[in-house]
Amino acid sequence: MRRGLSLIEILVALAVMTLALGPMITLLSSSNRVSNASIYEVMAVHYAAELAEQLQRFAGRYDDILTDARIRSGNGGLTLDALLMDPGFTTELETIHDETKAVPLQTSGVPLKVSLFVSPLHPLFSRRRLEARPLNNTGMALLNAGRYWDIKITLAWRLAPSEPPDRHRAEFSVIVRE
Amino acid sequence: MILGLVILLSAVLGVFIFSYNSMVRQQNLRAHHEMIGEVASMLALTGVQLFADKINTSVNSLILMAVPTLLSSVPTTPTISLGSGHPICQQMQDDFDKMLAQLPHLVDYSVLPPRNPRCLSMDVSFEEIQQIAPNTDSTQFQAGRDPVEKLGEIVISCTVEHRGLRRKAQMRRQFRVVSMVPGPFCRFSLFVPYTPWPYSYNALGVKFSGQVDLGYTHPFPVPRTFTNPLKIFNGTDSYAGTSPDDRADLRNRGWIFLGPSFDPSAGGGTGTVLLRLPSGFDHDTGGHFLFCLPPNVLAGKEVVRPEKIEDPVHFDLPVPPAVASFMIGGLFQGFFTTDPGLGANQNRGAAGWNLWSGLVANPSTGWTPSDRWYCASSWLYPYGDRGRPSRTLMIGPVLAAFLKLYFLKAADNSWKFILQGLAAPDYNPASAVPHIGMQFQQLFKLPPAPDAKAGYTSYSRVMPLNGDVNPSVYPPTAGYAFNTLFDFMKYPPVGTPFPNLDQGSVALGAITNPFFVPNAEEMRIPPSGIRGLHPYENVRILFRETGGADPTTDPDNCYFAGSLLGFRFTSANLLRRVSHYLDVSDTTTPAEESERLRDFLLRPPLPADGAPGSTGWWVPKRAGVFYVKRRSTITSGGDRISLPGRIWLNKPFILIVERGDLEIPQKIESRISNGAPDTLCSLIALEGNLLIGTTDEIHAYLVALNPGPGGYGGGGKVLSANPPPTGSVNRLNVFGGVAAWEMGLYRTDNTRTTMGDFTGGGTIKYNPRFNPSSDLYPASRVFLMEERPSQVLVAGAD
Repeated sequence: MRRGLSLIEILVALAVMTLALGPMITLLSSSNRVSNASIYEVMAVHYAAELAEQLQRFAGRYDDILTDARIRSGNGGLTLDALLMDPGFTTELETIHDETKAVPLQTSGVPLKVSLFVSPLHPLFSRRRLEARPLNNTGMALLNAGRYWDIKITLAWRLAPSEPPDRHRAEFSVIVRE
Repeated sequence: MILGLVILLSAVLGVFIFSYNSMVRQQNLRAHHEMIGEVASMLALTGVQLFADKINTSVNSLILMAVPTLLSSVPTTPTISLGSGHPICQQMQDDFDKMLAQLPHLVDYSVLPPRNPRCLSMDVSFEEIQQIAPNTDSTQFQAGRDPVEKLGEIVISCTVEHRGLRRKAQMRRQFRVVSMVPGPFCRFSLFVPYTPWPYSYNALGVKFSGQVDLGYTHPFPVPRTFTNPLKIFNGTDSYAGTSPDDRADLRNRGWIFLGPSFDPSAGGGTGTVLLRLPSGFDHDTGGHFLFCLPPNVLAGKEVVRPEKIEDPVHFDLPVPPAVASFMIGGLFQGFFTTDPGLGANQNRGAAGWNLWSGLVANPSTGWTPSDRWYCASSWLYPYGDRGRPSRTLMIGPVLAAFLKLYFLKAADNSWKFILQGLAAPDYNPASAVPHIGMQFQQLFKLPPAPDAKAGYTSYSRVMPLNGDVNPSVYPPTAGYAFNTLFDFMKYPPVGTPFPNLDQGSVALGAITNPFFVPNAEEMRIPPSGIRGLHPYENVRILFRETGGADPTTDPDNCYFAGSLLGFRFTSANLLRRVSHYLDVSDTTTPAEESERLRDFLLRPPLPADGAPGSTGWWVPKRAGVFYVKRRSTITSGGDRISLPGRIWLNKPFILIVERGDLEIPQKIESRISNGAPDTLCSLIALEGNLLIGTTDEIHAYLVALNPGPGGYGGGGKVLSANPPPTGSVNRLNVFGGVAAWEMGLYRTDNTRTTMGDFTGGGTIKYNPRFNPSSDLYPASRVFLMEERPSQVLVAGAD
């Protein structure tokens, strides 16, 4: 009995282990969550960058794109915000698919010649969206001709299926001239 | 012991887990920074893009404010740098900053006060600047050389700060500074190197009054009636009343080049070009304004003021019995095909006056209806019309054909009569001159001739002019250079004698600076003996009056040196000037080609474009020099690529179609400034023809200079897309200029020509903005950027 472990020793050891491991496991779990969060943030950056690059490449062509859209849709008053926030186009952008896909801009279900190439969206991403908002350029010395738009690129995701779909989000901006 | 082990294990585990946690947090921080950095990068790239876009869309205005030397000076340094402190860069930074302030979703609320992303700096530099045409050899000058045209790289940088992170984006793009004046031929209102035969242009019937004679049908090469002339207005202004400025006229106006004729019947040699002046003072079509405007202009009463010949060397003017004094006078007269005053013979026109034997094919058998064409006048009016006379320099072997009649008249008008023209064989010196009781040899006294033709030399001075011109010879041996009219058109200072035609043009002869008259010396003392005739073989076109005229010592003042006849507009002239290539060689139909061209070049107008209308109008998408590559099987005369419709010019461009024909179906219009279109457009069919589908005015310089293969006997023509007699496009109206290989009618070959298609004539008005020798020329240079960057870099910034 003297050579064996005393019950007290075991109990103290268990208590110490519990006290030590509990926070450590919590910490580990937290680290994993944080790690996942950063992974998704990096993915969001990738998704946004590929869209931003293409939107910037269209610089100088927005007039053409809109003209084409107006002709195809028969809507002479179609604006860039309406085009980029077309429900059909937005749905296509956010659809989960397996490989890189060309998503044509569209208006009222009519596809245009211009497409955006997008990478497959991770299942935990719930939103990949473009929103255009006009910027006020009155009083500006140089950027005073034409219409300028802020195109906001929004990515939203969740880390676990139990979270709300847009629990985490990242927002980016590109400014273009129509 | 077990407690010790547990504590040790926990401690080790703790170290690992804390390390892991620390790494994860660092990674998380990095990812977060990456995201913030990406936002900043995107914004910095946006700034660069907006700056580039602004430079591009402002065409030249921003460059003119920032680096005017780029557009006006020969490059002397390979790099020009505008620091971020330059006012333009600062303005751009301010504007971009104001835009960044309108992005609420990017506001950083973690600091007080909350902060928007900020633009910290913008800057631009121009690097690796070099001339487009650095060579100064004769080949280069024959093709044309603008020493200011250059290329290089523009480097635009923008630094943005977002949530404490700074990113600097830098974009490099190629740029070019090129003139929207496509070549040396633009110094000319009309540039036509080839003339099918000496009388190519003389096909318009006019009445004695100067009105068009619609009853005249020109027989060559097939019968057709010309209803109006093609008038060339060489500048935006007419001459100023009675005190025109010769130098200003030469400097500001488009010159005219008509190349020698190639009459196959003359063995294929080169010959002259005869332009017969039309008769009359009709406001639209009369040609007598070229001799003088009558001092007292009364409608229907205008006459050419006669010349009083005072020449005691050649004429003896005695006082005949019962006459106080008399004078010998001369009267210039244009050609006419109908003279109502001739009654039943009115269709004989000038030939019906029986004064000029050259107006009938065979004087011994008399006039026949087939001789009518001898009285037809020029369809081409190089000097405007009576309403707007337009003096300029004519280059090429162009002779003015006109008639002259001589009369003897009592000073009190109690009697007068016209001297009949007599050929040398018919001249009898012993015959009496009617009315005055003298023999011919007495009246036409000197030089004394011992032979039977005494006095004929003097008499020949009043013979009808141009009687001995042989138009099939170049250089010509007789006749009067068209440039003699340069002096006539500012006539008359009342009471002064007519200009001496034998001197050519005294006004032109007095100008020795080649800037105004490239070959002044040869005009004064020409090898041909015809004074006032300007050669085309060794012509120089200079930029500035005082910049020197020798291409070897002052190469940067010389735009062109060489033979106008040898000029060819080829891709070699253009190689480094083209800013955009459009390859439509993979298309299969003309309609597909035209659609591709339309989509590439034009777009429907927006309200801000200021177009006259929206429906059916198009505006250029961008400024540039555009080269359209077509299938190698394309030929002229069927394979036409077409512009889409009416074009409103709010950006300058040059469109070059590699082969085949280019159709211009409707008007091309620019805003008018200082009397001329202010936006330059040039349409060039490199090896084909230009087909005009409208009688509306086209604000462009039209170029079809190379006689390409196939089609209507080759390219090099401006033709109607819908020609008479069945089509409706029979008038050509251009405000810019025309350079075409050929224009005039053939004698027997029914090849389609500009003249044959445009029987209703039209107008070519010169736009002085195309003139490389004018003060307006530097404004023709445009700064063009490549649309895609050659390099984009984003990096952290200090």
